[in-house]
Amino acid sequence: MAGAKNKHWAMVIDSAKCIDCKACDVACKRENGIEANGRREVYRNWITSKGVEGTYPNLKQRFEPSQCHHCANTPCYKVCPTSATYKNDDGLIMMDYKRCIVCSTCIAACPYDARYVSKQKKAIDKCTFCAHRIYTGKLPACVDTCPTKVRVFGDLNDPESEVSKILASRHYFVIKPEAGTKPNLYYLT
Amino acid sequence: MSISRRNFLKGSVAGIGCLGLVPVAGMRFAGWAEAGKQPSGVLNYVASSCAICTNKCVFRGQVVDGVIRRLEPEPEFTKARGMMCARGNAGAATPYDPDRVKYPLIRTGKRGEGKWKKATWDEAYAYIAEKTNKVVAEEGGHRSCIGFVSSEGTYHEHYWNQFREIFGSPNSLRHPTLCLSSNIRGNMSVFGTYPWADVKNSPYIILAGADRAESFFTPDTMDMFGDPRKTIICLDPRFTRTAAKATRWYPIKPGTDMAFALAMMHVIIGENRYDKEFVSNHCVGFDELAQHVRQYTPRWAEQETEIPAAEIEKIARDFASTPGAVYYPGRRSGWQGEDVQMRRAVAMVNAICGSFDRPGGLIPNASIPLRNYFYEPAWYDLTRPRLEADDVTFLNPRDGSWIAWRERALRADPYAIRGLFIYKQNVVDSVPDRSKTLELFDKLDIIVSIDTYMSDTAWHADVVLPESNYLERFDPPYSLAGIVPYVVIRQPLIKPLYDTKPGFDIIKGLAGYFADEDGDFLNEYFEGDVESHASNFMADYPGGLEMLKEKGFFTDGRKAEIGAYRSGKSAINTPSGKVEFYSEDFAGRGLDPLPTYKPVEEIPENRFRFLVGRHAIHTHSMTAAFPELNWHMPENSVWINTRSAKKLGIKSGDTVQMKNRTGGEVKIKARVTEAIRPDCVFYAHGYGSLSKAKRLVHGKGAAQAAILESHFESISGNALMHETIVEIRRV
Amino acid sequence: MTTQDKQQIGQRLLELVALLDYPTAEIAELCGFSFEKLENCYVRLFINDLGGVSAPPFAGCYVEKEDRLNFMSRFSGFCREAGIEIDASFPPDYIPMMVEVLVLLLSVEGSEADVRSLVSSFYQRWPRLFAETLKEHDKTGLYADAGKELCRIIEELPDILIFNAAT
Ligand code: SF4
Ligand code: SF4
Ligand code: SF4
Repeated sequence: MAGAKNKHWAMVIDSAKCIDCKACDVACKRENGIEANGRREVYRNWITSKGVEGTYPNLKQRFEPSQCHHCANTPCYKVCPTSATYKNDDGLIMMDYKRCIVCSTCIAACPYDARYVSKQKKAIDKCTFCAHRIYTGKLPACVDTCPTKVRVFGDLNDPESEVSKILASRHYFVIKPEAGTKPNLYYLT
Repeated sequence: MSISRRNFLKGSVAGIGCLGLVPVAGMRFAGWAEAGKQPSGVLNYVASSCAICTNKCVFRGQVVDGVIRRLEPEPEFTKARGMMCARGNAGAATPYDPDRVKYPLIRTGKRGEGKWKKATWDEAYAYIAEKTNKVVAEEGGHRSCIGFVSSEGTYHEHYWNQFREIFGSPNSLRHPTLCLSSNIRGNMSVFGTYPWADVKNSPYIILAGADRAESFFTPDTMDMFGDPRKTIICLDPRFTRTAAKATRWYPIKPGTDMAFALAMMHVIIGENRYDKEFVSNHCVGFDELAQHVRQYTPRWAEQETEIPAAEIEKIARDFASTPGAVYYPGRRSGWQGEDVQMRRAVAMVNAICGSFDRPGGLIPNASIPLRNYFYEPAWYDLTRPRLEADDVTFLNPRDGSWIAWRERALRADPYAIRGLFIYKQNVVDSVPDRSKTLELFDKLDIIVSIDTYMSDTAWHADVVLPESNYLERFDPPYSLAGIVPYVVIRQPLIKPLYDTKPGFDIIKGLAGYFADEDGDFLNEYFEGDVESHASNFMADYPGGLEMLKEKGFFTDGRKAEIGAYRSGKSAINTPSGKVEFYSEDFAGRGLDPLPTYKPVEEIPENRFRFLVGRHAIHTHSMTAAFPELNWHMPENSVWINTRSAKKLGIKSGDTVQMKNRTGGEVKIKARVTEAIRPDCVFYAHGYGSLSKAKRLVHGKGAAQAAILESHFESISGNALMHETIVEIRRV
Repeated sequence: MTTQDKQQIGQRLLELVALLDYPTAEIAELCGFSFEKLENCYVRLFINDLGGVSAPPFAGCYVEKEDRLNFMSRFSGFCREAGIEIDASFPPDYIPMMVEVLVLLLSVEGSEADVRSLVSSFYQRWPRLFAETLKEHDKTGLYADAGKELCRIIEELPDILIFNAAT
């Protein structure tokens, strides 16, 4: 599962479509065999929301889905003392659970809070972009299951891919550009 | 014998003196496989459809070595726009839930006490038959004294209906009067059909009481929120996720939706903005309507709805001038007063703007007709009319009217109900006023519950018959109506676990313990098996069954033909053959022929209207105990507006006591929020389970059925879920 | 360890399987309980009870290292590769069934190493937790004792096998 060198995987997220239904969370857990056992900190993807803002009746609420950004300039990878965090040839940031000593340095280094301590794996865990699926031509679970198709996944090296086309035609931003991480999650404005 | 082994076995726990004596019947669960060694880890896919809510989304189920891993959405099933919601995903683990019902159980303690013994199917059937036949004999032999309750979603429900008919009871109860009966009736009276909105092609949607972001409806939810360019006007007393996604949100005063619709018509007709071509060619009674709505000015409506008159006017104008605008027939708005009349008013807003049978508007559904399921009828001279036959103007004999029926049953008026046979519906948690349901249960001699879970209803039954889980069943083809209709099917991903059976086998088995008046056993009325019925259903579509088995769905490319009613190709199914504003039919029945506004009851100081509503991760009372969903909301809490809470000295997290006007009372934690009208309160469904077997929700939060008062509307028989007024205090 | 030794351990395990399965009148009498009482307790512990079954008889409910579905499909995969057929009307992690799989493997000549590896991949942690759970909830004491004995045998089995292999 080393990935192909000529691929550049990316996800484009249109938060305006997100209805906070949590399908992506449950699909991810099932696809990746994650049993949370009621622990709230166990998730590979999540929806950020400040809750209901404003005073009645002038209210708003926003939802922003997120997960590991698979950064090209990778802070967690740099700090891992055991190389448990490694990079595939296509740039995916992966975990070798056996090597992980749960020192949690990477958790501190990740500006997106994408990592958590997995009791199940006795290691740090995070989103893999469903590498096992994308290498067999399938979509990541959080992408395929979403009712409103908030996430679009694909190869930025392919100009014909949907992600390339969207990014060519729409305004977008990345989260915490100041961290210099060169993330691969793009948010549409 | 080696020393160590002797010691090893000798060292056994002192307590079990019988060890060494226990009879061993050889291996019962494991043996050498005839096929020898087999490869492992192969991923297989089985196509089937979801059963966690009514949408029936089609999926490809991943099965590895006989174990279900995940249910992936089927991208080609366009009704769901290729999605699987949180609940559908969580469904993968349901067959393995340690708390599912596994064997037929017969109660050995008091009702609800939780003492059971495992039984064989024959023991369970015999027990039911003995009790039932005894009470039927006591009632003079008429079998109407047994009520039959069922719920949609299992594709075996027609077998249940067949059983009821050949058994000889007219008393059938289903869920629609707890939901959409009034909506169906209102639309039927205007359009002669219950049309669906063409959300995909509508740029402007008025969404009243349909929290489509949290109450999933395929494909509407996907189409509404998957395209953020749509204008969505949300009328809801509560700031739901739909409100959060809407263009504008108006916290309308509950029960005043009709005033809003009437004022819209006042503006649209008064300003001559209605669709004259449509109205003159396809409608009747417009002049009466135009005259009627003159009294309903936006200013007046502002007083009623608390939505500013200027906003009502603007919405009315935008609605009339936007091609494809639709006033979505939400189910949860209203549920007060003469609910059917409110539904009619909404239908008429659509009609005067021509938002019927055109892209973006209300579209009469299409469906793919299946061959009928035939069975011989049985005749009983003693059968009585159903209990509440005279209480509801338009009573659907299959659905009944839950609340009206229960009132009658409690009074044994005109005859006593002695038993309930319940298939799937969780009556205790879903019918308003749980205490009355339990009071009725107390009067019954036999309660049978067929379920997959120990629901509150099963918990109070005398006999629980375990149906196989939807991932273990072959369910016959089921026709799904819609603008784009489909046929769906269910196929087993795994073999049924434990001693469970699919609905057909249970129903036929139980029927075999009863005889008709000629002494023939009722199971003889059930011919063939589910597989043979499946082929018969699909007999008109060569290759159809194969496609169902391969993909989980079937389509012959059919769609609702938009414009067919306008062109006269299809006939409008009202008495006049036109879209009806003034209804002669209603007038003839002594009902208001035009929707006439009746003000809602004022809520007294320091009292609140109790609202019901949904949550995206739960289906009614069914899913709150699913571990993967429960963690998102381990307990429900009552929403109360910040200002109102302040007056009552209530803070978030405080435990409060809520009382309704008929003795209903719950304790629940408060959630102080800006997101609800100051005169309303709300909490989610599915919690506060009585059934201690639902471990995650037993005693957590409160159940809606415990606080809802029982009111119903007599035109359609629908429950009025928003007529409950409560008082609240901190404890 | 002789084949006969292994057979006798297998026999003892099968007795425990019989105890952990739905009671019969014969077993109730043998253990000195009223049949009805034993049935009632059994239903509450293992089938359906107040607050959910208190001692689910499924190993996957007690493993922490992996998701239960994963555990079940791995175990079921192991059985397929070993040529063992397990009853499809139970989840693969049904404890009496898992015990029978162990017995089956034990019955094979020279299977010591295989049994040890089976125990280390699939019979960790849960025997103890299951026994503890039974101890906490079983009012008859019968199931608690059976769970304890089962746990003891499974935990000691690898050492016994290696000890005997060495001597
Ligand atoms: S599945 Fe889609 S809509 Fe639902 S929470 Fe996730 S991103 Fe949002
Ligand atoms: S890409 Fe896969 S692993 Fe990552 S959040 Fe989505 S479902 Fe989970
Ligand atoms: S909407 Fe969700 S619960 Fe309903 S059928 Fe579809 S996947 Fe299942």
